[in-house]
Amino acid sequence: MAKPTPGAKNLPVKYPSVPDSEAGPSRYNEPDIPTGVDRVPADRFQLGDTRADLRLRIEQLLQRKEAVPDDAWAQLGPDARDLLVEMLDDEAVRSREEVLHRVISVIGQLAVKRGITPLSSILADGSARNVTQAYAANALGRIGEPAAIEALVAAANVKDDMVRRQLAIALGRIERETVVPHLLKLSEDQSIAVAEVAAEAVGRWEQKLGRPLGAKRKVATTKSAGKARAKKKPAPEEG
Amino acid sequence: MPREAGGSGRVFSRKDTELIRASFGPQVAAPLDLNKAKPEQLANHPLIGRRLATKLVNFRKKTRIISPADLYHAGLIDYGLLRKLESCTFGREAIRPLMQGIEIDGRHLFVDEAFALRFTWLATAAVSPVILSVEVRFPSGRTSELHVRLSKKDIKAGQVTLPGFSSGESGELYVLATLRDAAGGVSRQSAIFGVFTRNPVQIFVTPQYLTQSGGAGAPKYNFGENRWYCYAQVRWVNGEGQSVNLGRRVNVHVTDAAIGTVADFAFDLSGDIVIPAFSTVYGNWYTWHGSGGIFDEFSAKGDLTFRYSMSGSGFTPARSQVWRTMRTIGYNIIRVGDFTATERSEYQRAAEQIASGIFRSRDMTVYGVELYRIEGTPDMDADKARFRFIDNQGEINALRSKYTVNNWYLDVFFVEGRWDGAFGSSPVNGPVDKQGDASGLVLRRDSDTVNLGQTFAHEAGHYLGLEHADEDDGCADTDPASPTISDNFIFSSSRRDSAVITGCQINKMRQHGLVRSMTP
Repeated sequence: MAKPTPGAKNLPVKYPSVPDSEAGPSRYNEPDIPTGVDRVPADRFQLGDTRADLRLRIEQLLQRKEAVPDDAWAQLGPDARDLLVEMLDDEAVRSREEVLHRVISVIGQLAVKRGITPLSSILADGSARNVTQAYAANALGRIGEPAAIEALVAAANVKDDMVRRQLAIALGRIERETVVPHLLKLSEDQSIAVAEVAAEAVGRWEQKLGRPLGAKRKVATTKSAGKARAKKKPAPEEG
Repeated sequence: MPREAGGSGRVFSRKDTELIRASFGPQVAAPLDLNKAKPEQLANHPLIGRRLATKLVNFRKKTRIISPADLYHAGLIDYGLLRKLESCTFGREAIRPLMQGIEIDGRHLFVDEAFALRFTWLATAAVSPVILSVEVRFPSGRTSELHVRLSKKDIKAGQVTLPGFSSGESGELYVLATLRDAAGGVSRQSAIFGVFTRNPVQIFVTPQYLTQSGGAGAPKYNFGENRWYCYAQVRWVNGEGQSVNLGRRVNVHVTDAAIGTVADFAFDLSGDIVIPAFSTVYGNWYTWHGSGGIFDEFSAKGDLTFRYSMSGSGFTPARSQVWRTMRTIGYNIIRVGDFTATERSEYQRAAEQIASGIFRSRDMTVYGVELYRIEGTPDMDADKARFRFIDNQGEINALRSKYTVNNWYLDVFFVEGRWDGAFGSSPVNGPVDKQGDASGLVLRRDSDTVNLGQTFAHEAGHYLGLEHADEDDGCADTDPASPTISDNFIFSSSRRDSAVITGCQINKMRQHGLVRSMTP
């Protein structure tokens, strides 16, 4: 079935045309305007194996647009994991939020256990932005160690539902039965986005333990909620 | 008889100019000596302020500050501020090498004349510097990055000089130096230098805003007014030792290589262009074309050369610029999350101007950007809470399969965060009908607008059919004019300024159904 489309939204063009083809003569005939040439010294640099080089290699991977596969990180060796954790405390990283977020997510992706303490601090930091806390929660869940549970539970009263959803997802990833009471509580959350992932995690525990784990709010699963919303469309931006 | 053409423009305010400079890269000042800095210097420092400066001055009367950690142990600052101060202040000795200066010989740089950059740092016995990384943004908009492994002699001297730079245009040259030490730490500093010509007064006209690739500009067609518009950013550079007033009149001479002169007209800016001695003034202007030769040529998908000139204080600077109609794409920015109004306008700018600047090097441009949001109904509010932070690929697919906009623009879902930390992702050769779960780009928050604009272009390249330049994409990785693969806009580790599109790549993209030819 075709996806929903917005209503009476005027398209910005009168004549949306067919895809371009290379046929037909070009009317482009203006000569290029000469521009000045910028010069830099010849770059003969080659990467070595000092810690400064390792930092440079890490920064090059952090710069990639898409996700970096695990083996690319593995090629950098175990020192890279330590340096990534140290970079969480580095002002050059902290001063650029998107790089900090990438470092946090890589620590989660690689499940670097040393990252639990600094990530817990970020999660507990009241001055941190919600999105930063969401990154920290998500990464802690991927590390999946019991030590992360305390920090995740302590942050469970945070107001932002994006962060609470990530807390629920993170707790759902940790294979320790001590998370169950917290998941049960989150399954009663006022936000459906939080409650549904907590309820799914509780369901997985029920299957694993072979018994019901107490009342939980009936929430629509992502799949069924998706069906219910099948007619929805993004609203035009107001400003 | 109605006028066929006209124009308008203005000089930017100081705030606008600061924004332009901020877009060059981070502005990082030299570190402050906590023992020797004057009280006003301390008070004016953004991290210290008047209150802490008073406490600090009293503290250093009693003891010599060894490092910023002394302030932490004395209870004057918290750990968060300590971490910040360690990167930009020092006591008796720095705890790691700190960049201290970026210098040139003489007071000014001149076009096409070689110059050297000298980098100095504060040495420390504890850790040695190993690598100096230098990023230079030339007035032309071109950016270069190079790394230098420091020799023992450099390390001992606490400085290194790099000769062999020269700029082909006048304007402002930005340098960012990053000193990398043996412990894996970094220290950064930036500087801006003026580049002037021996023929001192110049005008530079750049279509739209901070295009990275230069080349031809794209006129925009306004259907309501039935006019073509040529919008441009302008900078006026004065290398004279005295102020120059160019007046407000701009004369425009328009030519076609086959026809010769097509039109001559003039317009007035909102005020006189007064350029102080040895400085650069930024502004913008546009011309419009409602009928006549220029209108006809643009409507027929042709190109024209505009020669702009001004006159005053004995100078008559002029600048030529080619304008041509282009193939187009568009972006629907579909917001999933809480973004400030400023962020939203920056995202729009990244798509409309930075990404467009990259595509224009190959005669393609971003025709338009429309903004949408997923919020406002209970269901969409729930989806907003679900998808503000994306936890896995399944959520990306769910988001894309649920929402679209029924036009020919690329759907770009803007989320606050992604589990993988990636700047963005897109299917290769995405569906033209935008149906299914691979029907859009998913980008995340990025405060670096230039990098974000590069991401818009990079991910659109995937959607329009391109693999990474360094993967098996059936295209040559480089062009003779651009032999460095990392300069390619779709290199897997493309930089914020990677803007090269090869002929093979543009030909592939043009086959996609969401690339249009736009004529009125």
